[in-house]
Amino acid sequence: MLQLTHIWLIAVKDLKIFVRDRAAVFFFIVFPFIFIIMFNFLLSGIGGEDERLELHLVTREPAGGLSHQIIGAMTKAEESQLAPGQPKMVRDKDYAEARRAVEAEEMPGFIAFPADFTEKLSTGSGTRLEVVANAGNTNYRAALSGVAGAIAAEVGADRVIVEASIALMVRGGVIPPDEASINQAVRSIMDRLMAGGAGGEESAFIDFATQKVGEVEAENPANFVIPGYLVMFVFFAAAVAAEAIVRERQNRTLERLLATSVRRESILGGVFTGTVIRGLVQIVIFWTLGILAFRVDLGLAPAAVFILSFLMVIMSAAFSVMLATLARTQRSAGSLAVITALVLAPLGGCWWPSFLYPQWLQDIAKITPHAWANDGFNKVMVFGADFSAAVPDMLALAVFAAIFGFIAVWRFRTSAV
Amino acid sequence: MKRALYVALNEVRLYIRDKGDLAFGMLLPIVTFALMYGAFGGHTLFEATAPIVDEDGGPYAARLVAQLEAVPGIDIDRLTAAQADTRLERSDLQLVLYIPAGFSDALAAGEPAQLVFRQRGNGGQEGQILASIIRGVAGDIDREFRVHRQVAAGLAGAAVPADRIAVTVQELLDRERRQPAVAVAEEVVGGSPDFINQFLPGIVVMYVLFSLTLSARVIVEERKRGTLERLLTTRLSVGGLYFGKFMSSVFRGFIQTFILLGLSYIVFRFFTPVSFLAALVVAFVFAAAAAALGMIIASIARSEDGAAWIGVVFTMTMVMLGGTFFQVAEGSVLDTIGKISIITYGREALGTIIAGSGTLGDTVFQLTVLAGVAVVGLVISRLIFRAVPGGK
Repeated sequence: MLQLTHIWLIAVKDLKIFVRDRAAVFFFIVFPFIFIIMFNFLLSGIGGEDERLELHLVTREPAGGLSHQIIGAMTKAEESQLAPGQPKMVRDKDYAEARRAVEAEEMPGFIAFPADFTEKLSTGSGTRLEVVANAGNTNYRAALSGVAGAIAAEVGADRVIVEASIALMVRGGVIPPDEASINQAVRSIMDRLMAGGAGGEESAFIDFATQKVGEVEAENPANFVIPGYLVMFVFFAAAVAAEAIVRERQNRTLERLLATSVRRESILGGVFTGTVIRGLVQIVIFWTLGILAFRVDLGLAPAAVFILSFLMVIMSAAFSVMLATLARTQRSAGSLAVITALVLAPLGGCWWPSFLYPQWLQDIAKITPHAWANDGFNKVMVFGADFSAAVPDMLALAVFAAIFGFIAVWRFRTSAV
Repeated sequence: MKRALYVALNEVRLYIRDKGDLAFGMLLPIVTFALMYGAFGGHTLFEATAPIVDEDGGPYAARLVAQLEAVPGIDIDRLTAAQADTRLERSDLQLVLYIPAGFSDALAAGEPAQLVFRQRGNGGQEGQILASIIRGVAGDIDREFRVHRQVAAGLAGAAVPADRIAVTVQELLDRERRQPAVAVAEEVVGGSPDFINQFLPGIVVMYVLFSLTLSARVIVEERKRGTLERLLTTRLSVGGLYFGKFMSSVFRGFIQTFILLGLSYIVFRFFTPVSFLAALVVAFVFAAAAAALGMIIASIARSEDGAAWIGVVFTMTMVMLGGTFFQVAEGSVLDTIGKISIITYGREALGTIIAGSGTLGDTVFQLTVLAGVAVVGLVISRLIFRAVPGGK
């Protein structure tokens, strides 16, 4: 009981020191919200883009070529006839002009048919579609490449139909193997294919239906900005607290405590509890303001959000004590705290959502507790996942806390010598 | 002047020996830039997650999902219908592909089958691209059925065995996959997202400002411990001491930028010798402005911790307003507010030189502003600078 009292008294003492340090209170409680307001403002409207894609097609072939028929078939539909989300195809007349527009960033890109498209296909020597796209527009390039691939596959399928039919006709004795008969059969098959539509959609086996369930709504940036800065500043505040622990060790305050009836475990527990309480104060303020002022959506599993926040606080407090045991001087504790906090925050997705990172970087980021915490918050608050989806992230934070805590308990010393 | 220079040189010598300070000044910018480059630079692949509800569970549904999963950059998120409906309802998802029950059975029986897109609006930009990729993959399966049907229809009444048709068609489809009649070639032109030019200058100047404002803590510490007062017992005047501290900050900032720009020169090779020298001029002026602001912080802070907090808050605010980590639209409110940040001017001036298109002449405005900040900062900080707490 006495030990618990000591733990509590040490924790309260640390909390009092923190509350009286106006600069620290400002930095860890008020300052993050300046960032949050700024990024909320910057990112507002993101994810609300829903204009129908407009894909451009151009051919360098003279009139009458197969490419003109393909483009004609693809661009014949009026926008009002298109299903929601079906891209609008636009025919451009001049290749050079289209290219200039892409270079000048007036147009994101286009698909071009070569001048010898029909000739190459007729001779069976193979040809290629050109996707010309602006370097900065990866998404548009993906859409263009998808459509170009579909055209290429369609033409390829027609070639298979013709070649398979002719081969089987000749082998089955349906037509004699002379050039004239084969040419006539090819023409007949081609006519039948063209009558089925250049896109061949009349005879499609797999059809698509579109059901619209509402309009696209822009994501509230606070749903990923607030968790990111909560993770960063809870960890930052805890890491910086290591400096105070080292200072008390260096000026022998901890040794003096031992000279009374306070035990080493009580000091450790008190320091840890004080950091936890401060972290809890931070998360209460973050979420209260987040919900009331920024209207954050805690998703389908608010309990998961709170458990992740709590585990983040526990892990950060354990890290703080561990850092204090590893750092020899107050200055090195301070430097390590700032460096660790400022490196792990961007790597773990606190500055920018980590789901925007390439997969390899997301994998590397998993060495940081920040990445697990942010991953859990994003799953629940941005992607609408349920509680179970965040369980692996909670377990990962618990493992980090256990490792840091183990090192802290193992190496904790009250004497600078 | 000579004594002030000694003070400055001594500080620089201590700085170079301090591994912690060097790590902060050199390592952090490199790590930050490497992280940003890894995260956002050279991002040439469309990456998205395709939410799919497979109510069919048959072989063709599995094949469709497997082929989608094989598309580079595409991940699959398998959902139940209830999960998908809830997420669509909450606008957590913009587009979901439903594979209805009976899809595989219908195709196996040679009958048409249907896939369903449930979406909000047009599905958002990402959803529309995903939909076009899904259509392409489904079209690949569809074509096999269609080719078989078309060939069989063309041979109707010719007494060609069905298995021979199937084998021939499959052989030719396989050949078509290996050697397509029409290939697709991508060409990327213009508008290169020049990540290095865009972010490197901001990160370099950010950490110079960080280092110099945080170094104010050391001056406060020396004042509290009486080190500055002891120095005044020599022939060093308060002005000389002040100027020595200021010059040491400028040199530190300059050395830090010199090393970072030198590394960039070696790694990215975007400098010419002349543009490198021009960049160093910018670095020197920026270091002077940042050092002057650091001196103001050292003059007004009462404790080491206070100096550190002011330095961090000031720098992070300048960074936030200075467009270090994001592009601010020209003429926007943020662009206007950003004019109060010295990061803006340092970043713009260095960016103009690094981009290769600009010379020092093109950075006159930014250099003038930075020099102005340095002069005003020097005057203010000198007026309020105290070497002894509460004294001269």
